[in-house]
Amino acid sequence: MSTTAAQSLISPTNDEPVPTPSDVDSQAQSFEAVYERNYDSLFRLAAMLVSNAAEGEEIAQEAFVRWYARKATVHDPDSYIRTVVINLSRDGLRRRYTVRRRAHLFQAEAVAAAAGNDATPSDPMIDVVMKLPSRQKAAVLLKFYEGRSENEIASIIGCRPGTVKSLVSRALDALRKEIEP
Amino acid sequence: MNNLLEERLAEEINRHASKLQAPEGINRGEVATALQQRASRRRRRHRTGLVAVACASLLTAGAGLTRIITNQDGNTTVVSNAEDETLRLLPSWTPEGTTVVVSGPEAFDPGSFASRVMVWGSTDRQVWLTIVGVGVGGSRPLETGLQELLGTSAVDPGTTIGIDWSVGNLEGPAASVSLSTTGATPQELASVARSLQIDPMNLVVTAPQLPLGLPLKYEGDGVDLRPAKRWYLRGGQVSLIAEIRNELRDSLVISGGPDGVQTVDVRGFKARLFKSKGTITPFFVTWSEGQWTLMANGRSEAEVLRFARSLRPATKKEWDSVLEKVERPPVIQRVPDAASESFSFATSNGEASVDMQLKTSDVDCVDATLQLPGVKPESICTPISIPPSGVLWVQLRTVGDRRFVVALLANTVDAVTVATATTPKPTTVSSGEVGATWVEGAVVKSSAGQFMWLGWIVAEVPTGAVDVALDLYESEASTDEVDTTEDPEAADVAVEDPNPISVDYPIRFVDRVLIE
Repeated sequence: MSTTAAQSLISPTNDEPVPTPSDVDSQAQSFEAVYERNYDSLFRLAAMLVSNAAEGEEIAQEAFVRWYARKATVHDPDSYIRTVVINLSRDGLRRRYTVRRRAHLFQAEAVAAAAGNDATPSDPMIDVVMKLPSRQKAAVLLKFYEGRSENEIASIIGCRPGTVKSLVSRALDALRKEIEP
Repeated sequence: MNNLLEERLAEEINRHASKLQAPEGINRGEVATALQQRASRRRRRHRTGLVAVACASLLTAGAGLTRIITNQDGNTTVVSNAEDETLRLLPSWTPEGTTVVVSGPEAFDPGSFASRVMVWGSTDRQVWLTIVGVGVGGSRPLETGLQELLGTSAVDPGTTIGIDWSVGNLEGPAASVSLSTTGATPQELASVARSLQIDPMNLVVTAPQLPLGLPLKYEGDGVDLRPAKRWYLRGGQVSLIAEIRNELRDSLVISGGPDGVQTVDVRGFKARLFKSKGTITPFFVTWSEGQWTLMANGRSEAEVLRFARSLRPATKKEWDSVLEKVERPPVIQRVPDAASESFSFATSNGEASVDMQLKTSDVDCVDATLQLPGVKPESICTPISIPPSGVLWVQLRTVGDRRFVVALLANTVDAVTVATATTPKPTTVSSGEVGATWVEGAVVKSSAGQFMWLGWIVAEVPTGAVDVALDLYESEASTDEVDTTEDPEAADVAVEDPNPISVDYPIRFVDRVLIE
């Protein structure tokens, strides 16, 4: 065995430096890692928020793009992209609402397109969830779909944990009224 | 009790979520890369105010699946999930990092961000489409957008349409696509769009050349202008479509609007642009098949809606004013002390010249003579009817073993991008730089009071396939804050977004010439 080869077995660090904690953190927050870790759940979250899979997909992708643009200043990308998704979803719903209000000015097909015509909740409970006000819906989905804590939800939605409790509670009340005789 | 309800709710939500599947067949890594590149480009644009160099378009005949094509370090990477797919459109000049989404003829879908297609200009020969927002993924067909806009799917099955297809920037908030047709209607173009299978490597794309100004057919006693028939806000661009009676389409007076505006008369394309104080290009007004389209850049949805509400029928006096302007043929006049009409410039093998004579006739047109060394003078006559790209005329000329791309341009041209097969990364040249000769033009003024700039670009290009992109920037982005106090809706919109992306992309047109 040549000296060089032996050295490389004993001390590989010249070529392969041991990752530092910051390297590990950086890898965990690389675009690919964040994307891979979050895309599925984010897409579903967005799709449920807007009741439209295609729009949900757009929103999810846009959230990644926006996060990446501010990557340097965002310390918690997982939460950040969820916040963006919720805000974009809300904006989308607002646009949809505006379209509906002006329905008389629009062609029928445009209204149908804007209305998110693939929303086909088959379960009464889901139906109720989909009709919740946007913040309540976001809180419910983050809690019951993503399993987030109240503190996390508060951080994502941008309110106090107490408000999250209140939002979820009101949503559950609405749900109870709807499904229980 | 609550726990039971919560458990059931969690179950139902998860069951519902599991039914939602992201589109399959997409390589996650590639999508991540594409999004990353998109974000980088957007960030770069925000930082510099410049728009990245034009990207490529890629359309294939395929099964409608989404595919990602990237071009890195000059090499092309094709990620395809359909073995039978024929990838036919991969220009050699595809810039590094280009992300293109491909789908088949049944679902031409430039991406999930491209859910709106706007026909924003039309004459009897050409239609300009703007695909707003192009990204990756998604499944909404272009056809939907076209039909939604055109309001019909009625296409004569026997229709034959000759098209020239020039592809603009398919990355970014808006992609400008020009379909140049002969005698085709927008409805027919919808059919074309559904069956696009285009190979740019085998296309010579011609610059749009508009016919002369459309005739005025004012017959009525007012304009049946309904505000906000449809509006969109996508990808930083706002489009509002109002409706006007067809017979009145060739002229329109709009009063009111943001910044205290303005009475504008619109005649075909020629006066599509009007300005308000402090900003440039706040709105475009174009006509397409009975609809006026107002497109605003850097304006909020609320502002455009407010503007739309301010639209009103023209008064008799205003119409008379328009008629007075339009019925009298505009006369092109030289602005005193403008640049010379004759331009000479040195090429590496001799002296070349362009003589530009501004002709006064019953139509606005320019006569020019191009003299390249060793070649007999060539006469060019083209109407000064400015297409959105600003390119009046562009051709390739060979002098011995050298080749030049010569373009006659109007309005503002900020950069010329020349890319070749051997230099896939486009080189952008501007005035005075090596690789192209920028010939100053003359400022002219029509009798209608329009100022425009005419100039020549002459770029020496190497042999082989050549792509020339003429990048025209109408303006830098408007960064004006939008006053949202008047509109409760606007105020509502303004809250909470932790990462607002300002709608500040400059309007940009790209004309592309690909010469084999």
